This record gives sequence, structure tokens and C-alpha cells, in this order.
Amino acid sequence: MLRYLLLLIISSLSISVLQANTDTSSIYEEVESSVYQVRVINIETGKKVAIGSAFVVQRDDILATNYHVVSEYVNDPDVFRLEYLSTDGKSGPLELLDLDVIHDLAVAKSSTPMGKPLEIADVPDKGARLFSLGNPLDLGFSIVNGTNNGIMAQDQDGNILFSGSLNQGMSGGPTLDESGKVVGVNVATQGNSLGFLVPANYLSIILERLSNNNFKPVEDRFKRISEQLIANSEKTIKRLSQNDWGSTHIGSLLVPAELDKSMRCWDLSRTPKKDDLFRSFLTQCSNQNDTYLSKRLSVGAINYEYSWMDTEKLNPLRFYSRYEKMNFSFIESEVDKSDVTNFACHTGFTTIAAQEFKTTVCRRDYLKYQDLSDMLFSIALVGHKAQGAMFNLDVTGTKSKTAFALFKKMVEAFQWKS
Amino acid sequence: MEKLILELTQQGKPSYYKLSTFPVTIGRAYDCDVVVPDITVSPKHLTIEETEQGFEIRSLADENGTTLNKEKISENTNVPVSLPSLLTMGELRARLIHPEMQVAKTQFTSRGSHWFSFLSNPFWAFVFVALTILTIIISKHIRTPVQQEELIYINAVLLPLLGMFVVAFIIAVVSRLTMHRWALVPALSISALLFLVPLLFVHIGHFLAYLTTSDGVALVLKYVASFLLLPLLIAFYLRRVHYTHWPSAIGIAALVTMPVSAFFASDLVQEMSNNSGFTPMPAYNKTLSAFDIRMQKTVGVDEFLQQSEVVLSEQVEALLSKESD
Repeated sequence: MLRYLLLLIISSLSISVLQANTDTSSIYEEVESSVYQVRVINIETGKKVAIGSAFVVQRDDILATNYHVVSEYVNDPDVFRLEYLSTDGKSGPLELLDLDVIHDLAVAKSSTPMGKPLEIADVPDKGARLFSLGNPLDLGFSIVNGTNNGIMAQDQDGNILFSGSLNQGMSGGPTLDESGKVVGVNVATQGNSLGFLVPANYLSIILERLSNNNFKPVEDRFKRISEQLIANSEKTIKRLSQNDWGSTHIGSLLVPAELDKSMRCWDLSRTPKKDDLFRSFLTQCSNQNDTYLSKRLSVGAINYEYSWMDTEKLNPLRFYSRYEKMNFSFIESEVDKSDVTNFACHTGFTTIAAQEFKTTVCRRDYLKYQDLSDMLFSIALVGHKAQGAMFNLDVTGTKSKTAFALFKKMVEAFQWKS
Repeated sequence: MEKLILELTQQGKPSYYKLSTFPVTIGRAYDCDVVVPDITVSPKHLTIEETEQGFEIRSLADENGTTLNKEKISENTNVPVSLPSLLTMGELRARLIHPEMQVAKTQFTSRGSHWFSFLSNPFWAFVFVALTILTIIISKHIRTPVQQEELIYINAVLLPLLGMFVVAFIIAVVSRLTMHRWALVPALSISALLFLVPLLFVHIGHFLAYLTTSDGVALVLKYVASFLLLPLLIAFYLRRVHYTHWPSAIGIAALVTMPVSAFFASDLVQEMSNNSGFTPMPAYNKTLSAFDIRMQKTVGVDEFLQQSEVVLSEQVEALLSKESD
């Protein structure tokens, strides 16, 4: 009996697989000649350092892919070159035209016709079947089918969540709807059977900009990237500023709670012990939005933390010795001296919420990206014998003025409740 | 009644010969009037003769030669001598002095009224040691904001206390060997100060750093403690206990502390090369003080931010232009 049941299950499974295969194979045949592999090649050794997928779009010599696939070439155009590889093994050089680091897109041009351009369509309804094409792990072309799980709720221009297993080399490949039109570009994977797609309408924006400009390549790529990052940071901070932040207690201070629903906040307070002579609390919030620039560099983080410390048992000298140890702040990143300047800092004393704070502002600028800065703000309550409070805010990849405005708005919302 | 004093300096120590009958022969030979065991001196080196005008010397041998007031005198010629005169025979240094020449002023001993006599006063030695112990205990107490047993404090004190006595003992033993005199009290004072002053400097530096909202003063104090403290204390000690003249005291102190200074110097060079390079860490004054005594006034947020914007864009501009050079 059990054996029959098992047989029944297996046969029904194989039927559904067969059905799926017919759908995907027809799509694959239709677009196969329009999907390519993109390679970043070291000019000296001739060997690839990064691969991804790309597809023909708008014109028969225009290819779209991810920015992160070609990022090494963008950052060191003297060391690397770009190349395509077709399903039938033909290869040739590519010229980078334009990019969008915020949405992880890049557009390149070939000197020869590459095949039939794919059409761009709007994102279909949630639950619609999607087909993702690409070149996973350099093993040859493949097609993955999955479902549109909608645009991620974190922010308005979020990515599409795709329940299909995208692999690394599929980055830059197209995701098609059932009629074979591009609705998204593969970007990233997170664990099993989960992928993210960039909505294809962001690609349309670049293509429109290019066709207005007769498909001429961008002259200063770093300037273009810098403008995009600054505009994105301004947009994000403007959106944050318009939100109702709510408020939360940290000791005697009433401070802004979550600047946005995309912020992730954690409590990192030390666990109190029975014979403690003081209390201390720490909460940290960070946005989940990093813009990838290179293996080492990503910007667009907004992090802030509040800490509080008070005592009934410690004398002021002992209390301050401990309180002072909490007074430090830095930005976690892997930047080195080829990316940014050292921090320049300015320290003074300010009145916030009718209390006095030792206040520091630090700024460092990016060397390649004009006017782009990392900003760090730190304030520490002074003048109280048995209470201490700190607030640290850091904003990376922004314009200093924009970060100043956010800091100002945040500390203006502080209130003291003794 | 002696008419002339001959001062010979052998192995750093002077010896005096009171000469009353002339001529006097000086040399290594045992039948000389003044026998000197220096191997660079000839067996019969020179004679000193009395004349109506005063004294004359005559070189008897030309082996390593003789100089008078740094001028070479030739063999078997009489050269008149004025007093006092510097004389060298071979490598041996000597002086010819008038018996009534003024001697140097008396050095007041430890209990004198000199301003740094505190180094030799047992009361002050005790105070320094006590202060050092107290400072160590207070620093330990301030630094650890948890309840602790008394044993911990004793433990914190024991090691520096031992170090203090070891240093004092070394200084005293060196004194004993060179001067044949124990000078334990000044050695203990010096040793206690060596531990106490850097500790005090840390606290003073911290206070000043908060006062001025700048780390500069604390750094200066740190370097003073590393480079100047030990040589100065040793120079004081030499002056006080060995009655060495200031220039030689400072010279000896600098020489003795050279290894320690070299260690700090290599540390400093390393630190400087670290600081001159790239760092992802923001450098700002992080001191906080319970006293809240400071020179900077409190200003409104707006005013401070406007100030910062100007200051920072200037500084970043400078960093960028340095980078593009």
C-alpha cells in the first residue's frame, strides 16, 4: 500500500517538473542569443577577476548588467578591461557607457551587433511567475523560475524579492515575465531560494538618458557616482526628516526613537550584576541600506546610538573614570588611505535640551568622489556628578551639509526629564 | 714652610705634595723626590728649581714629553713657571699651586638650607614614599568602578613599592662604590619621585586636557616624564650627594639614562610615524572630568555647527590638497 502511495507521489512530481520544463525551455530558446556573460579581465595576465551576466536591451549593441559585476573595472580602468562571452563561445570587448550605483546597474556597448534586444516591462503582480536567466558560477547558462514576492517594504525604491535560487554569476542577468519581457535585473542572493531583483524601470531611466545623449559614454564616472550618492543621501535624509520619529527614554533624556521603519534598532546594554555600583544602557540603530562601491567600500550607512550611565554609589571621580571610557566613536569600515582623508574633528561645548554637552563633529572626504564625505557626530553630557549620556551619529557617503541638518534636527528633539 | 704645592690627579683623585726644598725631581724612578707610578711618565721626568724670580722647570726626558699650560717644553731647557700652572707629564695631569691659593666654597651638607635639600631629608623621603603609595591606591580606586577587597589595593601597591626600593638600592650601591658613602635617604627620595611624578603627570595632564579641550598639554607632560624626569633626578642626586658640578652632573645623568631615553625615543618615533600616516579613527579630545573646569564656553547648537562647518571644510581642504601633492 505504502509502495503505491510513494509511486503516486513520485509520478505526480515528475509530471509537474515536466510541465515547468516546457515553459522555461521555450523562453530560453527565445532569449538565449540575447544573454551574455560579462568578464572583467586583468590586462596584464589576461585572466578574469570577476564574471556576471548581461543582456541586450534597447539597441542590438547595448548590454545591461550590474554595477557590482564591473566595479573593479570602474575603480581601476588602467588595470582591467571588459569583455563579453556569448553562449556559443564568441567574445569581444565592451565599452562602459553609464552606471547607477544606487540601483546597482551598468550599461555597456559592443562594437558589433549582439542579437535581438529584450523589451522592458513593468513589474507584474505579486505571485506572478518569473524566469531568471544567467550564468551561475561560470558553469554555463541556466534559467531559474520563481515567483515575484513583491517590492521590499523597507523603502519605496527597494528591490523585488524573488523566490528562486539566484547564484553569484547570475548577477546582471535578466528576469523575464511570462511574455519574455525584462521586469528586473538579478542582483543578490540571501540564503536558499531567495533572490533580489532591481526593477527594470531604473534601467529604462539610464537608457533614456543615454539615448538622449546619442549613447556617448559618461566622461567622469567618479563624478557621476558621486552625484548619485549625494542625491541618494539627500533623498534618504529628507525622507527621514519628514517622518514622525516618535520618542524614547534613555535615562533622563527623551530622544528620537526610530527615524524610519527601515531602521533596525538593538539594545546592547550590559547585563546588570548584583553588586554593580552603576547602571548603564546602550541602544544602537542602523539603516540597512549600504550602496556597494567596491570590494572594500560601501557607503550610505546611517547609524546612531544612545548610551546612558548613572550611579548612586560611586563618587564623581570614579564615576567619570568609567563614563569617560564610554566616550569614543568611530565608523566601522574597511576604507584605507587610497579612499579617504583622515578625519578632521572639531570639539566644543553646546546646550542641548537645556543641558551642557561636550560635542564633536568629524568629517573625512573621499579622494575620488568629489564632495562626498563621511560624517561623525558625538555628544557627551557634562556637568552632572552622577549621570552621563551620550549620543553618536554617523552618516557615510553624504554631503556634509545634509548630515549637519540631520544631526541638528535630531538633537533639537532631545528633552530632559529629571 | 712649604713654598709650592704639586697636585697630581691619578685615577680621578687628586693627591698633594707640599714642596719646601728644591730642586725637586719627579719621575717613576724610586730615587726621585716625588715618585709617580704612572707608566707614561719617564723614570726621571723633570725637575723643579727655585730661582730668585720664582720657580723654573726643566724637562729631563723627551720620551712622552712635558707640557706647561698646554705648551710643549723641550728637553734640558729651563722654563719659568707662573702660579697656578697646568702641567702634564706623559698622560699624567698635574698642577702647580701657590700654598695660599683660595679654595672653593664649602658645600653645605644635607641638612643645609639649600632649596633642594628636601632630597636628603628623611622626613621628605618618607613623605614621597607615602605620597606614591597613596597616589597608586587612589588611582586604582578611581579606575575600577566595582567593589573590591582591600587585598587588591595591597597587591597594586606591592609591586611599585618593591620597584621603588630596588631602584633606591641600586642608586645607593653605586654611590657606595664610587664615594664610599651610603646615601640611602636621597636615593629613596629620588626613587619615590621617579614613581610619583609620572603618576601625578597623568592626572595633571588629564585635567589640563579637559581644561583646554586639547590633548597637546598631556602629551608634553608625558614626554617630559619619559625623557627629562630620570636624567633630572639623577643630576640632582649627583649634585646633592656627590657634590658634582652642574655641567658634569647633567652630562653623567644624560649618559647614564641614555638606554632608557633611547627606548622612549624609538617609541616616540614609532608613534610619530603612525600618526603621520592614515588612520580610519577620528582623533578628538575625549576627556571628561567630574570637575567640569574648562576654558571653552558653552554655545548654542546652531552657533557650534556653523563654526564646525567652516573649520572642518578648511581642515578637509588642507587634507585633500596634501593628498593631491
